[in-house]
Amino acid sequence: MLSQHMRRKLFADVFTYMAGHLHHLYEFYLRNPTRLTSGIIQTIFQFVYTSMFGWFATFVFLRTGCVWTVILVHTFCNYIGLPTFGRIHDQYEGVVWGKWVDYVLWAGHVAGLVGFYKMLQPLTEGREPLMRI
Amino acid sequence: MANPIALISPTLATTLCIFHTGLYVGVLYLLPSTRPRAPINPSDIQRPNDPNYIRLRSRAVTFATIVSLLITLYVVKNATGLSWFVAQEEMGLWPKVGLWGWVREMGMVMGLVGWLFMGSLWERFIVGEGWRWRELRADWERVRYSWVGWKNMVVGPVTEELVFRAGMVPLQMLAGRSFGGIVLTTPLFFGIGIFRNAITAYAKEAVC
Repeated sequence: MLSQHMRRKLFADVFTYMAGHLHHLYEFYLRNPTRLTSGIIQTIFQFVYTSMFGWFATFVFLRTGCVWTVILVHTFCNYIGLPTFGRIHDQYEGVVWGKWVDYVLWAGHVAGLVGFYKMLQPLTEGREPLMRI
Repeated sequence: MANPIALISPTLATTLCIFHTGLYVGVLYLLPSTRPRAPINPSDIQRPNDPNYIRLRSRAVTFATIVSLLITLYVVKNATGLSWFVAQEEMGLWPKVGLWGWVREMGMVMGLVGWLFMGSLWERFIVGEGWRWRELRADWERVRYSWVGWKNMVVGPVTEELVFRAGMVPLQMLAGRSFGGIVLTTPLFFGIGIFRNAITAYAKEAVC
C-alpha cells in the first residue's frame, strides 16, 4: 500500500524514535548491568505509551494551533501518571464499598475512554487551527 | 515524488527533526556534570534527585529548546517569505484567538483529558476518605518548591512540547505532509521519554 518513499520515511522515523529511547535503556543498563531484559521491556512499554500521548498531543496542536494548550495537557498527564488497571480495594480495608471500589474504578476507565472517543473531535476544535483534517 | 504544495523538501524536514531530537538528548551528554553515569559511590544513588544536577540539566535542555526553535523559525521564515514576527506566529507559539478564546479552548481540551482520566482522578482524590485537598496542596508545593517537581511538571512539558510540537510540526507542514501523516509520524521523533521519571521510579532505582 505504501510507496517505497513512504516506507523508507516510516522506517527512518521509527528508527529515530527508537534511538531517542535507547538512551534511557543505556542509562538503565549503566545502573543495572544484570537486568538488561527488564530494561528492554520497560523501553518498549515507554515507547508505546509516549507514542500514544504524542499522537494526541500533535492532534491537539494541529487543531488548536497553540502549543501552550498542549503543554498543559502534558503537565496534567505527567501529574496523573499511568492509570491503575489492577485491583485497589485491598488498600481500602474497612471502606463499606469493598470490592465495588475496583468495579467503580474500571467503570471510570471505560466511561473515560468512551467519552474521550466521542468528544475527541468537537472538544479539540479551535478557531485558528494550524491545519484542517 | 515532489509534492506540489511543499515549500521545503521532506528530506530537509526529516533531517531537521532528527537534528532537534539529537540536540535535545545530546546536550545532556556534552558535559560530565549533566551526563548520566554508572553509580560509583553510595551517594550516587541519589544523584537524579540532586538539585544541582537537575538545575544544570534543565538549563542545558532550555538552551537546546531555544536553538531548535530558532532553527525552525529561520526555516519557516525563509521558506514562506514571511517576516520574522509573522513566521513565529505561524509556528503556533502563542494563542491567536485572544486570551478568553484561548481559555475557552484550553478548558475544552482539559475537560476532554480530565474526562479520559476520570477513573484515575477518582482514585487519586475521592475514593476512600473523601476529597483530598491536603494531598493536592502537597503536590502543588512539590512543584513549586522542589527541583524534581519543577522538572517533571514544568521544565519537561514546556521544553518537550516546544521542541517536539512547535519545533517539528511546522517543518512537516512546509514539507507538504498530510494531517494524518503529521499526527502519526511526528511523535515518532519524540524520543525523550516523558515518563522517564515514572519509569525510573517504577524500577525503584533511578538513573544517576
